[in-house]
Amino acid sequence: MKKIAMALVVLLVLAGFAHAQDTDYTKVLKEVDRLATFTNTDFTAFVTIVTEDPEKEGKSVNKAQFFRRDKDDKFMVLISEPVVQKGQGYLKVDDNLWFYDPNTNEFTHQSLKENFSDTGARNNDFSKSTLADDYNVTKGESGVIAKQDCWILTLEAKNNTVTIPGMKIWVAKSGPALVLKTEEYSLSKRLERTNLYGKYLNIDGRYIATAMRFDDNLTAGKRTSMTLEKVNLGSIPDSIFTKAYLQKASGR
Amino acid sequence: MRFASIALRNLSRQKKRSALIAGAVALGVFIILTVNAFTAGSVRILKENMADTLQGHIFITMEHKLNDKTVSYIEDDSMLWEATRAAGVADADVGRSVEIDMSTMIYGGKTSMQQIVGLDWSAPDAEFEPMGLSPEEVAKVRKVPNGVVFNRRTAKNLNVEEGGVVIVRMSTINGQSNVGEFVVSHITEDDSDIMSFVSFAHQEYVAELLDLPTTKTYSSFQVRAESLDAAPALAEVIKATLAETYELKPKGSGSFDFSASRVRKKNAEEASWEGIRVNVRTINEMLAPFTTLVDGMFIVSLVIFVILMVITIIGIANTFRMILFERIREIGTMRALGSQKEHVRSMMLYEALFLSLVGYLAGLALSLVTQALLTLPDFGTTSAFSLFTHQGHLTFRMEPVYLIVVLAIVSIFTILAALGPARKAARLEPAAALRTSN
Repeated sequence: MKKIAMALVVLLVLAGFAHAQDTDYTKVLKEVDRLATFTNTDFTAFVTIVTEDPEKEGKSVNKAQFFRRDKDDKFMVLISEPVVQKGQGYLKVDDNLWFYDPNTNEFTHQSLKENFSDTGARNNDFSKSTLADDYNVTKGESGVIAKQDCWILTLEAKNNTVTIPGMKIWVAKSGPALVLKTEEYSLSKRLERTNLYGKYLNIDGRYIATAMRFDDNLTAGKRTSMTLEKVNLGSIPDSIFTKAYLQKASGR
Repeated sequence: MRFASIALRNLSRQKKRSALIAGAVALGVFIILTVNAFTAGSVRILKENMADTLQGHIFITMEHKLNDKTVSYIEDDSMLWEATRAAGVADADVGRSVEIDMSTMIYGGKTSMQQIVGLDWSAPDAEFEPMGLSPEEVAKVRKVPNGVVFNRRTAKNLNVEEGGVVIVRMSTINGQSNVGEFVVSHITEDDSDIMSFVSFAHQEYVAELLDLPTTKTYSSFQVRAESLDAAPALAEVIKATLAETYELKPKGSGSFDFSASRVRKKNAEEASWEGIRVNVRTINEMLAPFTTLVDGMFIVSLVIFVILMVITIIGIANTFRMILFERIREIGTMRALGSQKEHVRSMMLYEALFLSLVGYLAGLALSLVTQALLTLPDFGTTSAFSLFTHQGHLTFRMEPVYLIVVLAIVSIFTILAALGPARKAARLEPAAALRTSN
């Protein structure tokens, strides 16, 4: 009798633990999004993107200034280097992403999943984190990365409108729930891109990755490094998120 | 008519001068007719070659509105078959294909942007002849379910040979990221740049990569018309039948113009429809951006023609002033003997008209000879120009309406140039003209 009671207690505890673990992984994902979202403030930074591409000689360097307002899901990127692309920019307002070319003074529609300029970074690398909205956690386990204990979460897109069908993310266990590494998978479960997040900046309890590396797993030797500097949470005028500002800032 | 014959005799009296003026007119006519015939011929042959390659003149797609997003695929094609049969199209002239519009092929660190067309390789061998594939080559492709056919230029760009495995990165019909693998089962002899952006694979595998709802789903319905000229009218008949069941996508919605105003309009259009709508496009509409580029050449030649005509007209006007001065006593004599003012004016205008006619005919003849000579070189079927050639040879197309328009322009300009001096000649007083010494 005693043994049966003990077994029942153990089962209940395990069930409770399992339940807690499921809930925890979803909470972890929500916490990741919360820490990376600047809901009450705007966000400005200078970004440097260095791309190594085996098809091109040497490294290519892109520099830009970027502005983000997460509460309205807006961002604006103004390119300053290389010289041939100076004045070009991207503006996201609502569901529309525009690319501006000062040479033609025209705005063209772009997709968030397209690459940013000729780099390995994507346009949606500039927008806010929405992992909890877009993905279900299908598996969670513990692991280690760069000598840090972490959760390894396997994510599956909630529906077929999410651009990246599958992901695996490594989230720090101790301290704030920061993403240390992600792997992006295609619909055919092929590893497409591996992203490493080396450094974070803490601003008022929110975190922004300031050193990232994106490795293209389909093209050997193709990688992109992105660094953020002069991060500022000061308020941005509304006029910044307009086409007119992009035209003016490009020197037109 | 008497004054017409006098005009002809006057022209023959000054053969060198007449030849010079007619020659100037001929040069302008030669340039405009030759360039126009070349552009018209090239555009037409491009459309015919593309229709052969894409296996149709009319292309029908279906768009479905799902969760505020537009997804393109055809699942229930019963109405499409009904529309084509009602328009008199035989079933054998209808094809179906699955396409990946934009993908990146990757091999050994090299990449190539490709449109991948999925074909039904179980179709008879003869259907693949326009692609330049022999029955043996078709059999080779059939054996590999994830096989792909490249042109030589694509294979060179990727540095891949037959048997190589290339990775493809693309998006599904819902916009999700997907990756597949193709085995290069055949490399064609075609070395053209234009066809280096199109590859051909198996329908089933392409459908799988696109994540189409079922295996019986495909991207587009192709209809082969009797000829390129018959395609627009046939498309309208098919549209009329389909419009009874489906909403039709507005014409021009498939434009390559992504400017702000166009996308605003497009966004408004996109927000305004629900359910399913059908897009019917002819090869002419699909190739509009290419034909626009070629039309640019024609505009340049038109500008050169106008400049030449202006120079020629100035020359003609000055020449007729000289003629007036030279013949002042002759005109005085004619008037004194009873010729009326309008007779004198008509005689000079006839001279101008005949000059323009002779110049026009000479220019036309020179253009025809040049066109005949330019069709002789064989550029081969694997060169960059192959899509603009017929079996390796340039083609020219003279349109009767255009010939008449050029003749009319030349005649009017020449007559206008001579009009001033002709009026002045008509106003001469006989006595004053006879008193004038040359």
